[in-house]
Amino acid sequence: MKNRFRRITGVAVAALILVGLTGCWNSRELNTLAIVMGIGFDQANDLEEVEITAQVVKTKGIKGGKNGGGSSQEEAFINFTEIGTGSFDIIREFTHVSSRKLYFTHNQIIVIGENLARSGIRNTLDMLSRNHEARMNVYMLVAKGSAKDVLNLKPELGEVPAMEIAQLMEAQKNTSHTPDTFFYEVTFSLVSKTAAFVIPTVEIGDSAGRKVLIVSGSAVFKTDKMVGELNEKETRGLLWVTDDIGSGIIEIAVQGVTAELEIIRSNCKITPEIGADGSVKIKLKITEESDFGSQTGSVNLLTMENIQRMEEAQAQEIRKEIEMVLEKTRTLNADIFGFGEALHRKYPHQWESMEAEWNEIFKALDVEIEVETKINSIGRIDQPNYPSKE
Amino acid sequence: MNNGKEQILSAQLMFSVGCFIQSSTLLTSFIADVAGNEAWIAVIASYGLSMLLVRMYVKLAKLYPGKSIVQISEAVFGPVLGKILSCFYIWFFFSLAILNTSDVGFFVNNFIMPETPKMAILLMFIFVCAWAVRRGVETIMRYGQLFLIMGFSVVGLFCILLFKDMSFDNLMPVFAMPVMKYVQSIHIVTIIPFCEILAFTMVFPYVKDQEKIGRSLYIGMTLGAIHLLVVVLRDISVLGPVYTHVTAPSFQVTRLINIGNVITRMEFFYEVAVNILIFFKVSVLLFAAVLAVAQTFHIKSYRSLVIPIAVLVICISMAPFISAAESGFWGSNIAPFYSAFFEIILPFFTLIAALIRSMIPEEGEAGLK
Repeated sequence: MKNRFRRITGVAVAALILVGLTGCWNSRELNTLAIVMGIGFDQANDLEEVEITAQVVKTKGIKGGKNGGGSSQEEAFINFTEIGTGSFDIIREFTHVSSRKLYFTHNQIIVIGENLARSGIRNTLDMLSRNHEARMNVYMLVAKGSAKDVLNLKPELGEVPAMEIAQLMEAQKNTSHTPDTFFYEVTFSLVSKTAAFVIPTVEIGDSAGRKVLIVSGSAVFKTDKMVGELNEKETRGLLWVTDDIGSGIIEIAVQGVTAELEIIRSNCKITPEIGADGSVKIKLKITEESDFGSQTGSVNLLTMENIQRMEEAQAQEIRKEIEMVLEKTRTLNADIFGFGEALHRKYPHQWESMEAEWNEIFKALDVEIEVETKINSIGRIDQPNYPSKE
Repeated sequence: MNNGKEQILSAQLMFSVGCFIQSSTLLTSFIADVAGNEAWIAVIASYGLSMLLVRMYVKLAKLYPGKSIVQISEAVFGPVLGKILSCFYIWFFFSLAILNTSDVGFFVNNFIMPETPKMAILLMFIFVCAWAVRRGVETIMRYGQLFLIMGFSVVGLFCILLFKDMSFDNLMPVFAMPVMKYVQSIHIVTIIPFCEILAFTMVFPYVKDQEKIGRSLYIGMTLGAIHLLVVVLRDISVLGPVYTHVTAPSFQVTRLINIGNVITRMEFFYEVAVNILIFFKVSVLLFAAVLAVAQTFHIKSYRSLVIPIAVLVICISMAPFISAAESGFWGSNIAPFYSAFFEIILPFFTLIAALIRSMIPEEGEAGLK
């Protein structure tokens, strides 16, 4: 009797565990998911409203290895657009037109239209911070024009525009003319009282008659509104200071010929100093290493004196880029370098009084730039391809 | 109630204490809200303070070897007053079990499965805990050993994976907050992770080597403190200014791991690890509550009490607070004082009374042991 009771209990317990511990309550089958690859936010015609474009993958349109010719002309993605006031509400509204509920965990990019960027993005992005499906390391972009157009552009090399853009962002490390900004980095700056941030810009341009997406330069945001733009050189100046340089080419002129140097690595140390009279000075020390890429002309730049000249010219070029961006941000009055934060870390007590007047202090900030460069490798030839001078 | 069959080695006690403190890593949002980016200082200072406070428990164990805190209360204060004190301890362990279980419910509900009703989650969770308690304390302590190592491995792994996202600048402004904040945060960290090992005083009767109890407790606490410090440092250095804004910093941090686009979405490791650690903590607390009831009312075996108490725990942990905001307020503001009463004040008076008792020579009494 007791044995049978035990067996029945055992079976009951096993059944209970099977049912209870598999977590089926929240399960969603794969074919009920609309996997969102990219989201775009635009300002709708009515200024209070936001237009959200969600790019969803259509798995049928992705050509497999076998279909060579492309007999099916189906696109691999579809863009849904909705207008409304609250982000979460709009995203749920998509279920009116989409047969599947949108699934955000594979989202690659967030694109913000320029108009919305200028009027403030903090409130629109609150939902993305809070929602447990939205991920924090998603690329952010500002579209010159509207985000909807950017997401609609059929890509050349890939199949889904959002993935194309994400890969485009990853490739930006090679020129370092654009930062690659993640969503969580933006939230860091939104939380700070004095910090400003940059988001890369993307626009639809023309290249040999075709429309392509061009990513270069960045948009400067103060608090959460876009206040200005930086061009490529200025953006790279910013990246020197925030240590986000990947690779890139620096062009210099030495001894009447031009040379191109490839950046290998760079490091910047920010040291704030408060003088005895209360004046604030920021010291930047940049150490950089590069490789010799190419040169024009017949003068051999790989002599000891010329290498030194090149290193100085390179330092000068870097200093110029940084000074360009410093000037631009002084007019925009945006502390995108994190100088305020650096001061806060080193002088927490003085910072309390400075924080409120940081706008004025930043304009008059004295920045000292010290650059040290080194040229490492010289390439496979050590003289330019000219007949040697006898 | 010294069940001669069950014996716990001092190494098991040591590791279990460490594991118990590890389980509190889910609660770092309490500390984060008060101390902000200087939470790590609070952790270090609290560790020092807790070492002093735990000496009380060790001293009591030395004065009355082989007895749990409930039995000690009875021995020191006599049958009537001792039982009243024991009821306090019963309530304390019971309430801690409820609070931790509701934390699990909140965590799973908020982050993993939003639509699952809490009853399903809690029922499954407490079912396993009650099963473990019925198996006996030796089983639970052995789990502690295993889970401590697991906890360290998981945290170590995440530290390595997150190394490129850490920026130690975020730790920097130190001692920039008003003094009361430091006092408050040290208070919280001392009481909530560290001194909750009062629960282990219920386990003392089963420990084989009574002299080594002190050493086990201290080393275990050190292990747990190291883990907590590493977690707090890692979270602050990765999250920086958002550390105070995020609901569960340790969880959020694991969502940022992205190595070569291949190693991503590691948060499932963290979810599993946290579930396992809290399972251990609730098992110990449940055991402490059940054994306390058994010892107070002189019931021979605690095993029959496990299921009723477990069911009560499930019921109350469905909704101990009105809202999540109240839960946060409780953790930062009320819990330190509430727990301090049971963890510090009661043992302190017990210790004083025990010391006075040991100084008065026994006059012909058979002894209340």
